[in-house]
Amino acid sequence: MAEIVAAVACSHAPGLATRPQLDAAGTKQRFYDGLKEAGRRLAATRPTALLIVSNEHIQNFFFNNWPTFCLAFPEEMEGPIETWMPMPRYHLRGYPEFGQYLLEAALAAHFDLSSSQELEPDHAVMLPLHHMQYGTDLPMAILLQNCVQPPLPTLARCVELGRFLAKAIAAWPRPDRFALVGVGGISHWIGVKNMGAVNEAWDRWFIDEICQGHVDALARITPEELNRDAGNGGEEIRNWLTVAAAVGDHPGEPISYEAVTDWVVGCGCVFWDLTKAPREAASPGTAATRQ
Amino acid sequence: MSAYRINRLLFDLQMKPGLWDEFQASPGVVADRYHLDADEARAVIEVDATALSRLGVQPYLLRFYTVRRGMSNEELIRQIELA
Repeated sequence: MAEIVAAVACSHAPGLATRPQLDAAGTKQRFYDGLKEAGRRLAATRPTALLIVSNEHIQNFFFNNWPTFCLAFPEEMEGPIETWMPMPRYHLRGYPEFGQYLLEAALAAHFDLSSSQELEPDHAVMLPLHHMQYGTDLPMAILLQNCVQPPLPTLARCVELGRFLAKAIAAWPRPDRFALVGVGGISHWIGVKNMGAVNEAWDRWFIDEICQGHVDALARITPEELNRDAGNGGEEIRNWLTVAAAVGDHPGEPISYEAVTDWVVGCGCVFWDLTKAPREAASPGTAATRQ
Repeated sequence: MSAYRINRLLFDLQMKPGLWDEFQASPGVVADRYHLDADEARAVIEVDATALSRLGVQPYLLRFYTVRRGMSNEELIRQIELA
């Protein structure tokens, strides 16, 4: 009975908060503007709830008990957990009834998710919401996927999970209008050799492919290829794939891509409007990534 | 050799109230409590990112720790390259 009305996939580089000093070329400003635009488009679809697809960075959880997939649905949350990060703190409303339902549905569909009823969302969740200037007052649940500590779930499994999310949302008996927000990526290398590199060509190709809905082809990228082309940070594309798989057959609208070397991250932002029929959503001038 | 104990210390330095200050004041005492061997303790106390990389420390934990200790991206990148 519920529906997905919109989705966003976007980067969550800590530099958004820690290194805001603008560069003369306008790179950072364009990305900040892009996130704001994503927030405007989200708001226009009038969601009533959010489902965020993100990954932990070893703060809420450690390796004594490290989930591959964890559905977090506390009654309320406060973030970011990085209290040192120069950004405002937010009090967030959870959606525990929906989270409980989603967990039951997942287990029934043989997705053996872990769960959490207490979470302080990190920068990965908070920075996109803050810079989109939208969503922090909506009830939300957060699906966390392991993207940082190998071994990781396969890309294909993350796509399957996305398709499951769409079915589960459709069967949720309340008339909610869900917005999905998938965060992370795109190419970046953190704490490993090649840190500082950004693979702009690969990132733009990835955005094109995901906007065209080629999630199954993207899921066939091998671990070696992904590590080589997008770095350990690029493992976060799982969150983009899950959201894109849930969206299904609607074209993505690329809003922004900037190779922000000062943040050591290739930063992208894509929007899907599911209130439009697919053929109306594609229009000239949305191909912001074409050079 | 597993990097679990160093990773655990770096995680707790982030998340456990009071541990950061205690570590600043008595690094050897804290390193002992986490059962670090001499090489591991030295690498953490001296913020030697080359050694920490070689010891297999989790890259995100390494990045957090060096940032907290005031190391620039450029310096971290340089030290990791030497690993």
